[in-house]
Amino acid sequence: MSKVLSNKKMIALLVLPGIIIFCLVILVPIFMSVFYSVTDYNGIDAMKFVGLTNYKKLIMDDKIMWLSIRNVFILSAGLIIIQHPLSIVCAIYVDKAGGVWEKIFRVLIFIPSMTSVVVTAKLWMNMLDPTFGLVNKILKAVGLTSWCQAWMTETTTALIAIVLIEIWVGFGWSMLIYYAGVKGIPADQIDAARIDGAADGHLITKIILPQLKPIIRINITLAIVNALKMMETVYLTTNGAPGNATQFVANYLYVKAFSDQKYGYANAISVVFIVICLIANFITKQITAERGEK
Amino acid sequence: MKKILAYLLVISIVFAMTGCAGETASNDNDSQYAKTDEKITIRFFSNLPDRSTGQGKLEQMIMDNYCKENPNVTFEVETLDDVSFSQKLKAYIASNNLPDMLYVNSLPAEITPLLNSNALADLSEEDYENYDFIQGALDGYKFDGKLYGLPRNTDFMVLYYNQALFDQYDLDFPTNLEELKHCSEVFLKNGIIPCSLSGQEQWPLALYFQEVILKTSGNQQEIYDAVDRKIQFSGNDNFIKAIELMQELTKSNFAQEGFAASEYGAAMNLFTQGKAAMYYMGEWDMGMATDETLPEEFRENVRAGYLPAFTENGKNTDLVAWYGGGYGVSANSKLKDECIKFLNYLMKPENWAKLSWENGLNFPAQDATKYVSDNDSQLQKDLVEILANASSTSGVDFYDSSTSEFMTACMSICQNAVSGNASAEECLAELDKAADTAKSDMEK
Repeated sequence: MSKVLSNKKMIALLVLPGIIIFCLVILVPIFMSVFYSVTDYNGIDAMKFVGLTNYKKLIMDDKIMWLSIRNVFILSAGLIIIQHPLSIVCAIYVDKAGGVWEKIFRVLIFIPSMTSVVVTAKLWMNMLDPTFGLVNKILKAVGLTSWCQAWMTETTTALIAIVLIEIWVGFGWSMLIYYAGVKGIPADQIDAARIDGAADGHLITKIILPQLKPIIRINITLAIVNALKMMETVYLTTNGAPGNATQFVANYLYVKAFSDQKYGYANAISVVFIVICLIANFITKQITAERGEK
Repeated sequence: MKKILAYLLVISIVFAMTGCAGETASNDNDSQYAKTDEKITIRFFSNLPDRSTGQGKLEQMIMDNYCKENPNVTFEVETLDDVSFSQKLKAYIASNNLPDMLYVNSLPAEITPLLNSNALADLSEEDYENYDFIQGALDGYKFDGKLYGLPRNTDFMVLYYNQALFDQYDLDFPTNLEELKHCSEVFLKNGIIPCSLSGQEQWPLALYFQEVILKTSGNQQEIYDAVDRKIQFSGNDNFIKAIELMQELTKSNFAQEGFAASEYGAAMNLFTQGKAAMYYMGEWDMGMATDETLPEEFRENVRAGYLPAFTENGKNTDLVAWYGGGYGVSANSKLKDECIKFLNYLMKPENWAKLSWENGLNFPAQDATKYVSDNDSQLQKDLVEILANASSTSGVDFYDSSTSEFMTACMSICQNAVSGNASAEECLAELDKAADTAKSDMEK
């Protein structure tokens, strides 16, 4: 076998199917997107070359696109600032619980992530319904009637609601990754710190968090990627409404392509989308890189 | 030997990949050469996901009857709600993979992409001389003298109401805005939602927007002139007044809280469960009166009336009405003849028109007067009266009368206008921008 694997032709031949698939499903569509983005293709009529018109309109005139990008950043910030710290704390305490409780908590916390997006979206739509929703009913029951809202229809609360739903939906994954990181910290380090008199706070800040740095980096990258790809929850709850207050780049692309039949323009959005992904990935890598790693 | 095995491994991977494609190709060939006397499967794409009530039930019922009479035919039905249907249809058109038979909306924003891509089979108009279609009903499907589809409904917007709730609070059905506001106040005082509106799909609010403008100005044409750029939306007193009145009504909690995010089914449930006294929707929901899953008390008390006039200029009896949905056959379908045969069966007066009327499921685009009987529900009688007494009808609704992009923009703007998330001036300026873009796109 080692003889076979040292044969470069053989290696190339074995890798070839993978490369062909990669080219067909990743590279070719990207190049096709770039091609269509400089046309006025509408899916029916013969396409015309329009140069950079779509990009110019997208960048200079399209307020909804910029609003969508802003929303992506708000969601990323929500995930990084709210979801991740909670996930880390949760992961540490689930690990600490031990025994049966550790297993029970782990399963319970992961349930939302295992549930279909359609179910979670409809569940939250019902929970946030201003007429019969649980959220407003609870607020009324505890005397906070003035806090009751039409959560999904007010421009001020709809985006917050989407961010909170996403934090809830993705919490299981985020916690699970941190949990795996916490489990990977050698027990003797923690024991040694405890013997030296470290309290819980010190243990977390001086031992656990530094060890979790690579995991935090991965989770931040995943959060940004998820925010950029945000589509299903928005489509199934507000579809960008009210107005375009909860519009996200991926959903906007879909609307432009399949509601407005502006395939050329939608492809321009997808190319800009790829560029944003690359920039976001680069910046994240720079920010979270260890010293000397850059 | 190991080298030979390795090569075999690579070859088997390549064969496994190409093998799948080969299998698909062979399936395609099977359907290509299918003969009508052999077992055939018609791909049917519908916008009626609920197959147990209303028009979906009727569509399925006739399909099942057809299969019994033609045992070699089966249907592969794909259903989606209106918005998703419209989006997937455009994807089908772009990929040149239209199902054999499909729901076709005759509204320009919907049917134009199908006609431009020559996707619909033309039908022989003479075949339908005895099908009792109401005069003008086929017009939306005719282009360049050819017929491309058959309509199934006469569509118009009404205000459904629960007579029992009106009686309980000693109220009459409103005939003007002041009475509407009074009813609204009384219902609110008693914990009842005055009117249920569905906003998540956006189009019901766009229709409500058009009707409020109509009931404010009394002018059917004005909004279409603005779409055609003969006049501006901005600065038009009728449009401003109408939006201000509808926002005033919204602020007074006329509709349920958060109605802009209410799904169609949820909004309808509020009404059918007696939580809301009125419900603004099209005549196609007439099946509420015969749906046995709904409380009997509700079924006996559901009625329909005109959305009242908002000013002295508006007329109660002006209607937003059009011939909307129907059916067509894919021009490229290998089962085109069989599909046309089924379409003719589906739309036979004794099938679609008779069954829909007798079961109280919808308002056909065919003459149903010969099926009217004393057994009809009060709701059916109300709807017949509403249409018969209409002083004017709109034809194609305004947001569907231009491009697909205009339609999307319009629905979003109307949602904002009705829910009060933007001022009248802001909404009208946005409409002007959308109409300008649509016009320049159409002129290209």
